[in-house]
Amino acid sequence: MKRIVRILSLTILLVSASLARVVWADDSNNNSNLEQRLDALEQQVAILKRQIENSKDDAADKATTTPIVTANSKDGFSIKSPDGNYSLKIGGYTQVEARDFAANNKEEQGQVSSIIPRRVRLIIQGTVAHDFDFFLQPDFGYSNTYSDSGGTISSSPGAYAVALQDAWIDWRHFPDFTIKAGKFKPPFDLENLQDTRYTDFVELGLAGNLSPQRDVGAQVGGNLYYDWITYAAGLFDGAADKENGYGGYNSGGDTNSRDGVGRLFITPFKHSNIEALQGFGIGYAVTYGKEKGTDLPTYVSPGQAPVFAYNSGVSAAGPQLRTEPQAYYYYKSFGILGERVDDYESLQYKAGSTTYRDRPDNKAFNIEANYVLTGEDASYNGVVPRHDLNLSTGDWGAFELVGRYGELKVDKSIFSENFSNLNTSILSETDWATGLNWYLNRNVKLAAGFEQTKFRRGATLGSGTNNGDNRKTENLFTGLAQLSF
Amino acid sequence: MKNLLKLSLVFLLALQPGAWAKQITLLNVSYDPTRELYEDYNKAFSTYWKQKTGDDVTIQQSHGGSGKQARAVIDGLDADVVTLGLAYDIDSIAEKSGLLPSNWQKLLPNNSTPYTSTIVFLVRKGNPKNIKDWDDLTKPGISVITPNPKTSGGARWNYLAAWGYALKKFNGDESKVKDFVGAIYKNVPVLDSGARGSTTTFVERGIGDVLISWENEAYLAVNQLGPDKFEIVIPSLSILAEPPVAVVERDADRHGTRQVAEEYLKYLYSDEGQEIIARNYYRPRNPDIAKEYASQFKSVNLFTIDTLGGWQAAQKKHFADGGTFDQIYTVK
Repeated sequence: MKRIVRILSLTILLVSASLARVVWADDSNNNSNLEQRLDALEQQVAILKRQIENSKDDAADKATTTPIVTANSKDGFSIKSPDGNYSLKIGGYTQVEARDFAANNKEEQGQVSSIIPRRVRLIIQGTVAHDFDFFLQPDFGYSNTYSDSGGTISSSPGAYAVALQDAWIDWRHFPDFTIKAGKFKPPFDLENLQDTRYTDFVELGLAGNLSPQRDVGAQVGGNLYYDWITYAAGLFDGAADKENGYGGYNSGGDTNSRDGVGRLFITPFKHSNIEALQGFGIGYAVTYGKEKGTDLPTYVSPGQAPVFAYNSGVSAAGPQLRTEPQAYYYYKSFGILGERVDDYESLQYKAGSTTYRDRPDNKAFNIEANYVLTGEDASYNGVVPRHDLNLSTGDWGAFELVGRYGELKVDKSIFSENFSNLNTSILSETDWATGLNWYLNRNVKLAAGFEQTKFRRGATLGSGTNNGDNRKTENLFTGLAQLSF
Repeated sequence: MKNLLKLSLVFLLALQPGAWAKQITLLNVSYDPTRELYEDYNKAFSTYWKQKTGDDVTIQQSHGGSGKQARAVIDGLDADVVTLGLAYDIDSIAEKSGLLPSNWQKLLPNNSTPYTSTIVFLVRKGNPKNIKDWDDLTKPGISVITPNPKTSGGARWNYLAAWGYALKKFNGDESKVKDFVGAIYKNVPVLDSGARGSTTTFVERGIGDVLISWENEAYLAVNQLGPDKFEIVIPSLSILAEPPVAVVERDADRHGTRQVAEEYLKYLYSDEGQEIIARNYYRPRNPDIAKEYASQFKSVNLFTIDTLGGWQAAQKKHFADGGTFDQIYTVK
């Protein structure tokens, strides 16, 4: 019995010991497995972290060589190298203009109400090799062409002509001394120098009649002294008043010598602490050339009707000097811009064996003001709505009230010396205009306006000519839809 | 009299060596692991040049994967000299940009390679995975760190070293060689862009069981980061790596630094240059200095790039788009 108990006890002891070993070995194995799995997980996490680090490095490397492509309302459609040395931007704008004249203008002067694609312009601009900018702007829009024969002005609207408005390159290694060459707006008329997309009105004021709008040539220019001073001086082919240079209307046929053009514009308070004066600028521009030939201007009304022309046989014959004091002021939502042109042109014509000469002084000025009703800043470079039109949020874009007053006076000596005819050309025109511009967003603008122009002397086109009388007051309603990008 | 004295003083000062010292800057575009080498070498050369000419020369360094660096120079990085991981990368600069002549390799001794190196394994201390040779790198569960051959010169040497070993092992049976090398790259969890990046991955991030490495990188890791953490394993067969140097002649001419650039590279062959090379764990060309530092390096059985047809052939076969590397490696 004792032996059996002893054997049983031993057996129980042995079995217990074996069981304990198995449990202990299992725990050990489990711990070892857990540790291995933990090690493997830690390795995986470290690998993933390292892969992310490498991806970030690769992305940073790629960013230094990958071109930057943008497509947005502010920059349009553009592509640029990471270092900025090369870029290409495609943009453009379309202006569809509606002109509606009062009944008497239509009946008595034959003016035609119309809806026209006034400007359809593609803009291709960019930079090459860091320092060279280029700009191309063909225009597929509507152009007016004028001809005058024996003092009778005829207008031929309706021609869709492809014109190269701008084509220039600009070397700007030194921002205070740049060299620009090609076809572009000469540095003269303040309103004309504005980007056409940002002007208060679709058509330039009366001072634009006496200014070259575009010309072909070269200029040096730049910004000096912390951009307080802007200067430009150039030599150009010599465009007549209101001429658009080669490719635009009133072009060709002249034998002018070259025109020198210079402009100095200062914004003395630009960086001052006087916030109310920071937007003030004042300047002076001059053109001078010795003109020769029959490329003489035709002046137009705000409705683009030709209202003044020189008699047949009159030609430019000598120095032409134009001067323009100019200024603008912008403060918060208010802006005002003014300019005055004096145009001294040497003229002659022959009657028999006698040569008649004159150097009349034609003058024009306009002053225009704008006020942004929705509180955005008024600016020479246009209005940017704070909120785009969004009916669901109750945002309407920006509204701008605009007004303009201008006068153009032809020197009386032109008529007394028979360089023109008061029965068919005006002595002066006085214009006032008002309008409302609606900026739906950066890219879309609608505008409506009214412009009234009164004339002294002059003729009506077509039938109903009343010699010695004033041309009928022009009452013009305008509408504009502009899309730009 | 006073004026004469003043004038004489000015004249004497003008004659002093430092009075008219020129300030010269060179840009050395180099491959990834040579940071420490050129840090030491540039100090020595600046001192030497100052003593020789009185001029102050500052060497700016750019480091990265050899292939990436070559492309950067082709794309316009203004290098005065290039000191890259393999001859093919300098050949491609010459061919694609014309910045240096096609015979650049003949312009300096030893095919313009002032030192050589080879490819070894760096493993954790104690070699826990018992890695002895290339075959061990193909085993499942072994994590291998090596950089991307598309960007790194060292990575291409690594790849070709494995390929050369497998060629010998399988008696030239290319399909087996491809499978063998493919098995190694299957075990690669992270492909860094350069050799230094791989060293960082293995040594600092603690990733991987074995780093296929430039010899100098391996010695650097062991001797500078702790002999108690890593050890070097020499494979039974490896490749003789010959990193070349060259003056980027058109850039140097434009900068007016041609003469200094040439002297900068020639000085690598001087006794002092070769000493610095050896101290940084590269195998110097100078036989006397090589002998002096022989105990620093382990003996390695080597084959050359010529065994694989030269760099042009190797690049086309293995690393061009659609080459063997593209065939065997898929991004994870």
